[in-house]
Amino acid sequence: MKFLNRKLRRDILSRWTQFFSVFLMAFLSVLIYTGLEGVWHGMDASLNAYMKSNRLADSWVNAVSLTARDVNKIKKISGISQISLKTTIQVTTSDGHNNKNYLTLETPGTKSLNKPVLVSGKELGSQKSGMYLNTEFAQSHNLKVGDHLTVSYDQRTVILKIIGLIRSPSRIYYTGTNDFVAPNYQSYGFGTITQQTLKNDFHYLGQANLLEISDSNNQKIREEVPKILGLRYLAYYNRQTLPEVSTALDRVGQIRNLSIMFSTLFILLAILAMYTTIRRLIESQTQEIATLKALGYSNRSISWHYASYGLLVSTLGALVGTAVSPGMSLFVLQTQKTMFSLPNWQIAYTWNSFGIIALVILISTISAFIASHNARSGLPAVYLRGNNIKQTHQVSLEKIFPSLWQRLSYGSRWTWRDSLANPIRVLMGVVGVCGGMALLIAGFGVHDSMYSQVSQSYGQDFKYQERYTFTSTNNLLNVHKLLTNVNGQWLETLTARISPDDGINHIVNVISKGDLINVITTSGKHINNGGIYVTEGLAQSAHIKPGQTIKLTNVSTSQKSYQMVVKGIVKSSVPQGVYLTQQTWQNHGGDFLPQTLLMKGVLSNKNKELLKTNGISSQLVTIKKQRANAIDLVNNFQSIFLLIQAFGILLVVVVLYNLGSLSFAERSRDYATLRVLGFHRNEIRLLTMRENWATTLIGWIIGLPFGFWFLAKYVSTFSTYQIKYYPSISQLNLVIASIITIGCALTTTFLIGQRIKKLDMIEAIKGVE
Amino acid sequence: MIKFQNVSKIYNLGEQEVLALNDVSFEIEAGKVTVILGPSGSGKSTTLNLLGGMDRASRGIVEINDTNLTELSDHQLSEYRRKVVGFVFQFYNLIPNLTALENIGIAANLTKNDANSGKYLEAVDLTSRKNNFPSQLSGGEMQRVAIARALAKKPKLLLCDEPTGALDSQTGRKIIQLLKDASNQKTSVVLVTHNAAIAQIADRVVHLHDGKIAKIVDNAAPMDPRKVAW
Repeated sequence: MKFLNRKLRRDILSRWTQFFSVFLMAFLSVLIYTGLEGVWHGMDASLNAYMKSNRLADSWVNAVSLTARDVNKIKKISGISQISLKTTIQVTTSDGHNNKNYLTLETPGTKSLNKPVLVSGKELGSQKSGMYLNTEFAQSHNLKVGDHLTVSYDQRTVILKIIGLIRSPSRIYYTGTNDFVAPNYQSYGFGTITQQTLKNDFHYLGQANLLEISDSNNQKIREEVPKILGLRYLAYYNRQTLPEVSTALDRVGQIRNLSIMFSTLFILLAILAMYTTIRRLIESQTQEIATLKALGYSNRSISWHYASYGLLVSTLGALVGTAVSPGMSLFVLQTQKTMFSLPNWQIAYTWNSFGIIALVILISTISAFIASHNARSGLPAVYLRGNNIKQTHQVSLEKIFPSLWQRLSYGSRWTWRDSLANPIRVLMGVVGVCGGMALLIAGFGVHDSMYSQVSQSYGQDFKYQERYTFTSTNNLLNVHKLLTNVNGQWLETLTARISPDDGINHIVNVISKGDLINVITTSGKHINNGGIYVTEGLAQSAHIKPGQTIKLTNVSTSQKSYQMVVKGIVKSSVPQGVYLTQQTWQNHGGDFLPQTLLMKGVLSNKNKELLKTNGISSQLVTIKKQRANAIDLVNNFQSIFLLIQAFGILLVVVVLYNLGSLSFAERSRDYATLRVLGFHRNEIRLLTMRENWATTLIGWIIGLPFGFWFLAKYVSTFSTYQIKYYPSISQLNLVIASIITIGCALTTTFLIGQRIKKLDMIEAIKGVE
Repeated sequence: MIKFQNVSKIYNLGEQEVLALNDVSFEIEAGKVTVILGPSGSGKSTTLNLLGGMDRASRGIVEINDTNLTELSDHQLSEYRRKVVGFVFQFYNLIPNLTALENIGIAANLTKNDANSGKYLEAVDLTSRKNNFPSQLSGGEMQRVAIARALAKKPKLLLCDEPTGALDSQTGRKIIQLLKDASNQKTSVVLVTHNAAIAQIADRVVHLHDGKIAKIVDNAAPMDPRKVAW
């Protein structure tokens, strides 16, 4: 074996370009899976550790006027282990540039639930005044411990000393309002203040309004708490529905699904590339294999020798991929750090990574073993003579359409028969192009899909300029009656349980007359009176169809139930829920109490004054900011999209080059003969191109629908119960994906053209002799 | 008229130089059969490669009808092989995925003569096998197809590298007969072999040894190929 090992080493060195493609594929396969697994599993581990160590609650209940008596009643629900009673208020602060920022301040509640992490400052609970501010808001405003912050609440101004900077486990992904989909730490923050500060500085006289519950039965709480609290109950959330937590948990799932889907296709294609490379390499050594056999080497030692080509190179690639993957994980994690507030970020792996490493090595080794099978199992004399003539048969085309066949050029006939005599090679080519096309469509399309969601939501579905959400310590009943001559549309947002119940409280949007909410049904109609309209994501998850009657239970105000007919399915991304008109709502006995005003233009000063004098405060969000915020979210994925695109391109290049090269290697003797007969290089190049182009064309044609299907699956992994993404790819990016794929085929032809230049007629003919 | 004037060919094999041909000069007359005879390593194949425009001489002149092959570009050499030369290989080198007729056609097409492919196949008595693939033919049949392929280009120079090397003697004699017949059609035939018996059919025999010409023998009465025995 000593000499065979030397041969192995020298073979690898002398044919390093071929081995490099095997190395590259093994390296990339391991890198892409392990790198992304490091991200999602690391995030998962970091989140779990954070949620566990800081005792994140399982349920959150928003209500008004909560008392200790309520807590005692709720505690009796089975499965509850702890309850924390808190008061939250929303205050505003100005950054000196007339920009209003919003802070949610809350009292600490029970220490043992949702314990904040102190980043800097005084120990939690040690001070009676001042505030603990969230780190990200402080950083974006250059605020430090010891600084003072002026906040406004209920027409009162309060100066608070910052006594510490914190993170909160219940606000890992803090957008501050449902109007935004990504965190905006410049405008939204949170903090904790003591009960004394709330009472003495803010003169807050109300009761608590938030319950944080540690429990083992979410559904029981969701059902029982509204019954206990009655009309005071506002909303219920659990870890899966509280956006500040669920977005982080969803992100883990999104990156995991992305990693699995992308890696599966990538590894399949990489295996294809590795197999073809090793096969090509070993087939060029059939005479050496026969020589070894003739010298007396056993089949086993020859098998092991050739299998070790695959083993050695793929192991090396897999090891380097494993070594580099933490770097890729860190790179992707870095992009996520801007969105999520976690005290620790770690990279973690599962045994699956080791499984992938083992699979890549195993496949390469088996490929090498199989590739050497023919020469190994044949008679040495046959392969030593080297003049085996391939068996060929007529193809169906020439039997069925003989006259058409006769019209084909000799080159075309040759290509047809050769391709059909090597169906595996052709199939691999088609699969390679098709898979590469799918990866590129997915790589470009997932980006386009998210951008298209932004354009659709903030350009088509919603056409307002400003969005006012009103909050008041007083009754809101009259806000829409108070403001006169507004050029806008009113919106009441409720939360409701639908029946059959899917375990989630959904958003119900009741809209007044107007054209600023412009969502369209799947049949192209606008929202009209007479029934409810369900968004497509909700309809799919709850199996709702048009014409069906469903029960809506208003869990945010009245607790009343309504039987309503589904009039249509709305093709809208966000928010997922139910739409109905004010008239339909009122016809069913609902009270129209809108909290949101959508404005075509801006609110007049007169109306602003009216709000002020009536003690109604408002939160203003412009659609421009919402769009920018949504684009921030898309950009947060940009690095992952770029990685997918880059890996897709690399794969297409390697797969196509390998297949072209394999086809060339199999026919190089015939090409050399043609050169001797007087064929020019460009004539031979045209011959070599035929199969490559045919394979590329077929692969591209199949790759288009397959790519769209893959993109749809890919995009669906990003959808949540709140937002649904629709697959979309711009014509430009589709053209770019096609150009890359076809360009790679062209490049392959060019590279093979270089090999034709170097084709040594004498060597090729000698090989025969 | 083909002239080989003071031709040398040196191969660089790493640090070592191998002198395959050393100052070789001879002439080949049009329409005649010339056999280049010699043992392994004598320079036979190198001579054939230089004549066929597949390789360039390191020194000297390879002149065919007043054209010095050593001065031709790659493209011109391809044109030379296309229009002037026909090749017959020891192992036939037929394209496996083309039928016997198509193998002739693909070469004949180079000189726009593929309409007559059947005629050439008929000349080698293989019309009945026209739709057979190389894998369905015997060694002798394949070589006859290879000869038909070479002749279909109407070459002025037919180069044959050990054309009977892989055949039994009876089939070999038929092949030699075909090549001899080809020379009668105003085509010069150069046949490379180490088989001295075959040399008896030649008009001229060039004996090579260690890259040099050992002797040149003109045969006034070449033997009938059917009488050659080996």
